[in-house]
Amino acid sequence: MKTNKCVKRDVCLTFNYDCSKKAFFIPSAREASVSRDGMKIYLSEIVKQQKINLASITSVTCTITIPAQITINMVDDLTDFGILRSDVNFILKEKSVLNFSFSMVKNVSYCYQECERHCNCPILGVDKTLKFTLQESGACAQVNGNCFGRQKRSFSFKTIQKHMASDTQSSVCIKGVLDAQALFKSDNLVYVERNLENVTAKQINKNLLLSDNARVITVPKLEVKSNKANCSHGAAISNLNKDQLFYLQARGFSPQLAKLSLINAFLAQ
Amino acid sequence: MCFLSVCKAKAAFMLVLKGEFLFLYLFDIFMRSVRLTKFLKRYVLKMGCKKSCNECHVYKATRGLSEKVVREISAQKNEPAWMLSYRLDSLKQFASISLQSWGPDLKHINLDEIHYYIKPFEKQEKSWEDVPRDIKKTFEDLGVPENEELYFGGTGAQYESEVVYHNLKKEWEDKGVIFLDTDSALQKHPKLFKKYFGTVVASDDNKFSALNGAAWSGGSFIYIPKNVHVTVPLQTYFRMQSEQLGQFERTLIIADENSSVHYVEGCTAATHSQNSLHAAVVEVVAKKGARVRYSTIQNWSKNVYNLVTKRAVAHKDSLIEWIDGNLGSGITMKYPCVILKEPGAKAEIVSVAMASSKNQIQDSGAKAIHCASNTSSKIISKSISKNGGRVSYRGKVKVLHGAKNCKSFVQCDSLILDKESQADAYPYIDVNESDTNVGHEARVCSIEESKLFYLMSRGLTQKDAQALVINGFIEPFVKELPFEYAIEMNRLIEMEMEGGNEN
Repeated sequence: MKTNKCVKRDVCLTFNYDCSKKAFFIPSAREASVSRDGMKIYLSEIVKQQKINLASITSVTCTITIPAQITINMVDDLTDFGILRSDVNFILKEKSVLNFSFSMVKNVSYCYQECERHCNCPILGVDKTLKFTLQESGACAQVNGNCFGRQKRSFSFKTIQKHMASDTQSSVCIKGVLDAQALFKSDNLVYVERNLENVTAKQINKNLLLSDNARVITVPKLEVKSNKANCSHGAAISNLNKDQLFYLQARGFSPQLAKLSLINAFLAQ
Repeated sequence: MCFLSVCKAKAAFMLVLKGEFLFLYLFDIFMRSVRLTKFLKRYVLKMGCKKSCNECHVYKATRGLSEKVVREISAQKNEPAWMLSYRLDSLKQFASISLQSWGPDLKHINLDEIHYYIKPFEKQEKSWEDVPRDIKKTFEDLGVPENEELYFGGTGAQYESEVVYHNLKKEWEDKGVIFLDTDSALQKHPKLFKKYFGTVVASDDNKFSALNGAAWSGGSFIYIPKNVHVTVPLQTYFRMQSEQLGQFERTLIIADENSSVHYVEGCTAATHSQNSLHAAVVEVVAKKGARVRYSTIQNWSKNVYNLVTKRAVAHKDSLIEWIDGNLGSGITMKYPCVILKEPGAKAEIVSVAMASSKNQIQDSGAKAIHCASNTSSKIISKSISKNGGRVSYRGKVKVLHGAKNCKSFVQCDSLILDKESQADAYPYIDVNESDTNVGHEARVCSIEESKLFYLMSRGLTQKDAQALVINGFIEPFVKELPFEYAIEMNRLIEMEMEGGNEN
């Protein structure tokens, strides 16, 4: 573990972490929330284990190894602690499964009301780089993320799905709802190494643009060097469906509520 | 009874008649296909004719590009002063712009070794009889004169740097259609030329458009007057015969209000050991309500660098269609672009790329820039890679702020046929307007085993089954081509497939 200063006033934490460490399973208040699918692990807990005060750092660069035969559900909650920049590299070993999710939408209705009131929320820029290296066969990575952009908030996501072994699967789905002058940038790469078999990779990016001043730049990329791979990506950008809004309003929803329900539905999909 | 038998007789007679018609119809189709096959055989056989075809020219510029060479080209063409200064400006820009940092590596092009201008003959001819024999033979082998009568409203043929033959059927000439080579157009219609030249692609757009601006020669100039619909395609054929040649054609198409035109271009080159360069600039202007369709089948030999800038501006309610087939060349970088400038404009870009030999890179794609409301674009790209080839789709969809109710749909599918090959997709989507609908889909896979199995269980060989699946895969592209080109395209694909199996 080492701490070094990246930029002036920016403190960057760099470390490597192996999930097989027993120390990892120390229950804490946050970690105790066991869901149906198994234990949820918060990324902030891992950072805390580096014996550092979360408030003192602004960005994190780390490599996390998922050992063979292990299924891990991980939640990225670094933004909740004010760590806006993160660069996480996951290495997945044989038959390991990683379900990774991040959400920058705490409460849609709260977000939305705040947006409507045009309160002064600070200009925040989230910058996330997530790299998933599927190093050994049977590895599987599933990534779900969503964000809600208000005011002049900007999001920049960079994901790399790097398939280095046969029989691996990955899927990345990022959804964004953008209002006011929010900016959403997404750069997603699917890479498949030569001579692999039975590789499935998916990547989807969906965005709702609620305001004319919001902007979306999305660059989904594919680099496939193997003919036994099945890769696809998709990107969709549009406003709320007018017919759906009308339908809800015809059934007595206020325009506000109709909008809100559709946004909620979009994020929950 | 009598009535009934009459009826029967009548019916029988009608059947015979029908049969006869059917027979005649089938016979006609048969004859056509025979003619086509002949043409195709020649076309295909001569595709890579070796040095046996003589290089013939009356003027050959020294290697490399310098101010002196540019001045010489301009003097040879007897150009007005403004064009010379345009060329010299472009030359300066060419020197100052650096090579692009993305995409295929172009460092191997030796720009100093290339002949930037080769004039193959003294004057351009209107009849094939007068075209110099050697050159005529090259084009006859390709089937160009034969097909002119059959399918096209006008034909041009460019050999090295100059257009050797240009002819437009009288029917269209009478309606005011201008179909000339670009150099003649500069002499004959200077006002019209100056109004549109360089308005769509500025010479400092990229390094190779600047190069084209400095050294351009040949190409087609088309002007379609208001309300004229040219119902048969106009065609130009490009041929590169010499070694280490740079062909810099410049094509300018202007479709005035409510007119329509279909332009077809075909490209081939002789096989040489030294690399050649083809850097064309194509500008298309579609005025209000006009419709322009631009079809290309590019089959340069495998040592040609094909670096082309193609761009169109679509005015109110106009439609621009790029139909783009890339089969040959060593490295292709070509991204047909449509700027949807006024409301109601539409763009359709359909392309096929096939990289079928080692180190061949087809870096093609499409761009649609939505500048106005109610515009729509549709991009369909199909690519196939085999034998170590690499195909990339590189595209851009941009919706500017204030362009409301725009629709854009992009679909790119790639097939990888063997282990050594690679397929990529690099789309760039930038949306600045909420009232839009933008969708993008891409897929990379190999031919599905189940499809092959199905076809083979019905008695097809594996090769035939594969060819059938591929024909189906590129069908959206082929159906946009004129009939005779569609067959040619299928044959070319088959040939490329066969060529690989022999290796």
